[in-house]
Amino acid sequence: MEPRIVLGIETSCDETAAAVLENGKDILGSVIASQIDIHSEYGGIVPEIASRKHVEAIHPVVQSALAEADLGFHDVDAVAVTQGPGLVGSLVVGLSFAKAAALAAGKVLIGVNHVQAHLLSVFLENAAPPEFPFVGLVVSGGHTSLYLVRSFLNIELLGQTRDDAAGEAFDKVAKVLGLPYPGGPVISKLAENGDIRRFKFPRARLPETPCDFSFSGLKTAVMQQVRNMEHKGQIVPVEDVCASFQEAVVDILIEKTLAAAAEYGVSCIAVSGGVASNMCLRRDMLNRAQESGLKCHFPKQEFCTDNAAMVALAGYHLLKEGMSIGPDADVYSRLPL
Amino acid sequence: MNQIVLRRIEDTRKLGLCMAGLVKAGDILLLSGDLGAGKTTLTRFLAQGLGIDEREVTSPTFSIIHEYRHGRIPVAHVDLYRLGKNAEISDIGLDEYLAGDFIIIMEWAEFLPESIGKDCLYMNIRMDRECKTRTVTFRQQGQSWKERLAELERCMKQH
Repeated sequence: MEPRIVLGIETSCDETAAAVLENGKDILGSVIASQIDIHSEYGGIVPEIASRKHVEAIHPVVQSALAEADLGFHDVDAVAVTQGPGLVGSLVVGLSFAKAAALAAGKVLIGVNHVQAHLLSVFLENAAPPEFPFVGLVVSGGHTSLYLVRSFLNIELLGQTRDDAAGEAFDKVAKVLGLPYPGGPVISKLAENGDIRRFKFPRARLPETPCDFSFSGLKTAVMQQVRNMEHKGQIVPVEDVCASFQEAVVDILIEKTLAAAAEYGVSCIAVSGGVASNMCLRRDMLNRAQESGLKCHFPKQEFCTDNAAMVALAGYHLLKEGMSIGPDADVYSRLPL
Repeated sequence: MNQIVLRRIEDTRKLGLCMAGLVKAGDILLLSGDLGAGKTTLTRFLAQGLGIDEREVTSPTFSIIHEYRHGRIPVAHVDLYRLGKNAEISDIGLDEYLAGDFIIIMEWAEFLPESIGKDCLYMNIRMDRECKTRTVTFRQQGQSWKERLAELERCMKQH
């Protein structure tokens, strides 16, 4: 079935989001309510509060998305919802809401893999999207994975982080430097005035599994550097630490993505997820891809972080292939290897 | 035995593998120590010793709980980092893992506001300033680890 109007719902982590997508292409409405401020206030995430905030937000967020689209729920052909991976208590809110709404109104329900949705986010409002097959890098607070994307649904995992996600490394380095959560934007800002060559931080190349990532050693090296300087009573050059750390992350992300593109003989790469909004990564990845004769695609900034338009888009393609879920479907916190 | 000094990654591997030979379903291991201390690495080696694919073991910081079901004993790998000092154990869905079928390995256990079981093994990992060595300090609550810590010491001395 090819649905005309898909309602997308996303609650896998800190964002409650809903979007209305027409013909797998046009975003008629998209609304995101973020909890980041609430969690920053507590100095950490409180799962019970996260779930409660999703419960409070989900109905108004869906209503607003439909209002933006100037549609009612009866106009929706199918409901696509993030089934995993993510925080179980948060995912459950979105899935329960989607199930109830779909059941009550007799709509088709589609379960979407959050990472697959990120991979497809590069097709949103993009007049010149990547051509299949392409190598897709999903890089965020919870994921750092490389995929070979042969079509909208034929997606093969090439490698992933063995320890910390890149976004997690940004958050933890920010904490070491006494900077606020989330770490990405603030480190990126400070790095603008820092020296990328001041500190030589390690890059984990993992020659036996070159598509895998590791950021744990980098995180530890930064921490040791900072603690050592603190111990000696030196002033920590925060901007230089940020610049050198960010350079190490960006460098390895680019190197591995370009190597995967060469290995699999593709001419396009696409980078998505929250860290894809990092300006240094965007600039350097574009330049180095160009030098290698590759076309490099990024989603628009607004589609890098968690959103429901990408969920609706993934749902549209799943339903075209007849892949819907029943009322007994459950959420999952992780993807199998 | 109260302390073990780990000088290289092979020592951490040995500790993980030795512990894997001693743990049983229902155990609760509480790991503490600063960023980069090696909590996830130790968990990976322990899981590997239980027959779990080591690639499954990644930092649970983002999702809070990872479940590894494909080893000799299932493991719940928990991380309280994102919860910080507001950690409320009742909030994170740990109950189903406390029933006794799982081994619970918890990182950032310093954020635990209260005891979560009668029998626990606390393990604090401290890095020295030059980051050459890591010192693991054991503290047991309850009796179940008393003899096993002696066995762990024997295992660590073997080649």
